[in-house]
Amino acid sequence: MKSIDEQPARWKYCLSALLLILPAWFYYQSLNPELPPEWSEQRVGPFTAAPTPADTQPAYVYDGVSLKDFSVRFCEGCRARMRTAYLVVGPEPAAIPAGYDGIVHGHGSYAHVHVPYPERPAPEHRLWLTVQEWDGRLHQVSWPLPQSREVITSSAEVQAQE
Amino acid sequence: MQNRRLWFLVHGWLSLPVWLLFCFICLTGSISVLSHEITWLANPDARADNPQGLPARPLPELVAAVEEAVPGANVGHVMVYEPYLVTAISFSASGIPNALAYVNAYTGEVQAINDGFSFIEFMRSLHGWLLFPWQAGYSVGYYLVSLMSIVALGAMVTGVVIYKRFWRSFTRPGIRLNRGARALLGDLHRLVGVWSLWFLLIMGLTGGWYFAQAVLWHTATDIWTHPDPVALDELPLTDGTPPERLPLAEAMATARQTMPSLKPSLVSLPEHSRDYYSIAGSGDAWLFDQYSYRVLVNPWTGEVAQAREPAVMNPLQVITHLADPLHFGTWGGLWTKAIWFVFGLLLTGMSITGFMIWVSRTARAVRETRQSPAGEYAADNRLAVEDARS
Repeated sequence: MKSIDEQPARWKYCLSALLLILPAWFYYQSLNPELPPEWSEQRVGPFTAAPTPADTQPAYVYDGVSLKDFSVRFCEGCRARMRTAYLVVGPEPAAIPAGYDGIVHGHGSYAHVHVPYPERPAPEHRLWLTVQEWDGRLHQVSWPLPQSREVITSSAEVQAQE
Repeated sequence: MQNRRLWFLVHGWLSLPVWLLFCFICLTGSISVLSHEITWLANPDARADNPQGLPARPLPELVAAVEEAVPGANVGHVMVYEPYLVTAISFSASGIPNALAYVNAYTGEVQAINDGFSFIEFMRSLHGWLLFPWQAGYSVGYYLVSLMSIVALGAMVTGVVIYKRFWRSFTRPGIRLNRGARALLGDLHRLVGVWSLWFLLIMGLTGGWYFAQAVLWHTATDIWTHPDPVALDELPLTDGTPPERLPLAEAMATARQTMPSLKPSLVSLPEHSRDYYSIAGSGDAWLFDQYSYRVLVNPWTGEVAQAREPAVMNPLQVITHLADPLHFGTWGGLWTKAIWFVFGLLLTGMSITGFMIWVSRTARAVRETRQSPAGEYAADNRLAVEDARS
């Protein structure tokens, strides 16, 4: 029989209080968000755009699709002049998506995108932004991905009628 | 008797290791229930005073008021609360990624603009997932909190088993005030426990549903299927000037025609050119939440893209829209909210009295075994039996 001469360890049953430190920490974090640096602002047709990844983590898989979240800062008042805008990571820009993945959404100049993003991007993969104006003109621009960012080449803009 | 002792131990094993966390969740949940009323009390800017008894203005007028107050404002959502609270309108503008305007629906006055923080949302997040960040479709905190339903249901079931003739708390309720702290704590714990059985059951079942919902989110299992974005060829082609989309007022008129009983509580403007107007609200169906009726309107053709209402819901969708009113007691207005608040506080107190009973029980066990070498087990066993009696 174990000794019961000492007081029972009440503190053990209070350990769950330690979990309550986490909400305070998360609240502090939400007040002081640490965003990765914004990528270089580029011209895309008559507009400008600068993407910022939501975090430094690799892509996540949701509903079988590998995605990474970005915010995009467009020039003031420019989003209203776009018929559609979407982002994708790949060797070349993708066709207009049928679903929601990759579509630039949100209100105002600060937009959000769930970008289709390979779990292991290849060296030739870039972040492609496609913008269409209301007259149908398409503009494309791309950014190198972090691991290949030492080679920052300015990307060619493609203009095409729809 | 031996069997009852086992149930008694299970009662403690379930609750004691997490009693502080459980207590915190009960307390924040109770505050969440009255978060609208607390907002009204604490923040004069959030009150929609209506001394002249004016009718509420249509929502598009309130949106226009924000656009007038903040030039270049890009409105996202319109949230309608109780009649005594302002309508909250979220927007972004030049240099402001996210803001919330408080608009008095009767006067049309923009009473305050803040950075998007709302006490109501904060309390819901603190209670619902302890502010744990959301990953791809899940939050660890949401799992943690919803798993507390096992504690609620477990404490309820084991409590009923170990408390012989528990119904006497209904027929002959009583608290012994003159028999020392331990008797008082035990009486309180048992009396409140029995009177809270229905509440524990509702919290346990809705909490269990929230756990199931967390799994559905995590596995990307849609409860509602969202229509695909508007096909690009349905959008107008112009000479480059942005075309006018369907005005909000017309989208809302379409929603009203589709569902005459719809009372909007959350109106969302399209987030991109291929998105829909979403007009969600409550309707005639009893107990259903304030998003049970929803119409998605195509902003270019004016067509209804989707109409959701209780009459067309499958069982999973019904549960989704019943859980919140039952969990937060909002289904019957202020009275049910007050009842839920009180019982939430009682549950908060039960986790404290439960721990205190254990502390005094073990302290006495130590004292008694010091006096007679009968051993811990014997003392513990006797006390357990004593606790179960009463």
